[in-house]
Amino acid sequence: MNHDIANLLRESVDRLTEGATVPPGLAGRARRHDRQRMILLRTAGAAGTALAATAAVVVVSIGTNGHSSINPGANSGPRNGLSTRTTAYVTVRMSKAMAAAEREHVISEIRTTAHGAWFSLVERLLPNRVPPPQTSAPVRAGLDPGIFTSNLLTWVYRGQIRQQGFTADGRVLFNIHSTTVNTHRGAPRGLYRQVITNTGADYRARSWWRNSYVPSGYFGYGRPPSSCRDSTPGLQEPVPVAYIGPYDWSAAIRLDLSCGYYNLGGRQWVDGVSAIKLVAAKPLTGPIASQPVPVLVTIWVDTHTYLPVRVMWQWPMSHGKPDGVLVSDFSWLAPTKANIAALQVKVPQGFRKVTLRAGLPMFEFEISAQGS
Amino acid sequence: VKRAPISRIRPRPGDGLEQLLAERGDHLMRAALALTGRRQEAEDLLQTSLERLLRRWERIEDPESYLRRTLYNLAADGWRRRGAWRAKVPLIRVQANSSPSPDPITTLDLRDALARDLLLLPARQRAVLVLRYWEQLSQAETAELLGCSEGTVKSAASRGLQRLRDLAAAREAAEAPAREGQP
Repeated sequence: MNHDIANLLRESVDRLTEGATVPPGLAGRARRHDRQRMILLRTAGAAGTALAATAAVVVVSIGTNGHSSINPGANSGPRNGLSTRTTAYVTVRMSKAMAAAEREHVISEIRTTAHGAWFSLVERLLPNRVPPPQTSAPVRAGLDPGIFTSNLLTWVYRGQIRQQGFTADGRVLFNIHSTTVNTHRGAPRGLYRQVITNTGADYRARSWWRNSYVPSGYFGYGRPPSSCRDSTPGLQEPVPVAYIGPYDWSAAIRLDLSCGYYNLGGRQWVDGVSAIKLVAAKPLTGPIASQPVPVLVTIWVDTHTYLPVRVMWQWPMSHGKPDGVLVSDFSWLAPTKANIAALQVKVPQGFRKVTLRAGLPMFEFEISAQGS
Repeated sequence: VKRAPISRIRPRPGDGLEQLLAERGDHLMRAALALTGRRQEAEDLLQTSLERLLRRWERIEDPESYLRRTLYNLAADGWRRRGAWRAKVPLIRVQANSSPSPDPITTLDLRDALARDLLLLPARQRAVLVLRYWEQLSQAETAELLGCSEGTVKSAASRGLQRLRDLAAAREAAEAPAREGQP
């Protein structure tokens, strides 16, 4: 170039930034966010301090898998009693941390990879909507039949869920955003109805849709059981398999923990994060797919924040194949303006709009060794 | 001697932040926009810098200087790539770019190839170039602000400018056949 690139650069940046002003309320947002961070830190800090006092006990009671940063044998006592106490301690801390994250409207990001299994995305008439359940076969009116993926990225934020499916080499297959609004209009006192709105794009068919859905009844589907008496642990079914709609997985995990479905399984590093492992006390026979299979659930919890970093579902496969495994890695995202905006689905140019005739797009989780 | 209670002398943490933003905020916002290329990211960067400032408000003497230093250092350190969640943002933006409703800044960005090329540079090189050629700081001032040596600034600026030249040359070469084909 003949021009002085440095001078051009200055003019160019001047043009780019011309007229940019501080958005109103930025200082207030910074203050609020900083306060929220302090609340989270206090929650995690208190938990971390207390853990430091009992960490050695955890290792003594577990005996294996403790990583080297823990000093074993600092305390002694009856094994079973200590194990029970520390399990309870971890689960209580984890529940509190998750409740705090929920209060602070932290965005949860869940990256899921399946081995020996896949997710399929179909449009389905849901049982609680006309026509009746017996006719609720996949409709596939607007969706290209057979959108299969083993890689899902899910974001959950205040009644919004965004789910993306990817090919193994990282190309987007579909992209769906779902918003749930609770309304008390027409509902008995203390109850509410839900209005769910979806926007989705099918990248293979180059089509997109937008639809709304009102589930019948006065409570949403996909909600976790309200008490241990319901006896169905929330994590029996993998989180990402939930309907594309309201699924309070955070409450599901907390309920599972409070019901004592998990025991401590040692400490491990998960992607560079020091984590406590929680293992389901016994395999759950759950509808991980259309077939009931015994599913073993393992949770890894960040030792500093007490938020989950990974959940793994594992089940035996027929015909001597390796176990089916589903791994969800969790990240906890600040609810910044940019992140919240990124939850929305942007329909690429040139995509054709299609109509879903009924129901909702939803996931089915299928196990390859058992056929579809 | 009667002394006033400390609480009456020391301001509440963050008092004066609005005034600081009123006086210098627009310039800092422009710097953030130059460093990130997108308005929303610029707001996030400036907000993150403000949060850092609030945490140390009572311990620093020159809030403006601290804020500016934080903003540039966050950008230079690739603050977007630090958290796992930030790594996913580009994934989503790939689709956002093909959206039929572009951000006004994006439109402006498209008109200005050099500023767009600037965003292709590594974060530290970009910060150095913005400081050196937009803020017009000296090498020494840039080095002091970024906490590195003058030699590092010099080499980053040199490499950054060369990369911009290469990108511009490649673009000109690509556009030449198209121009020749026009009536």
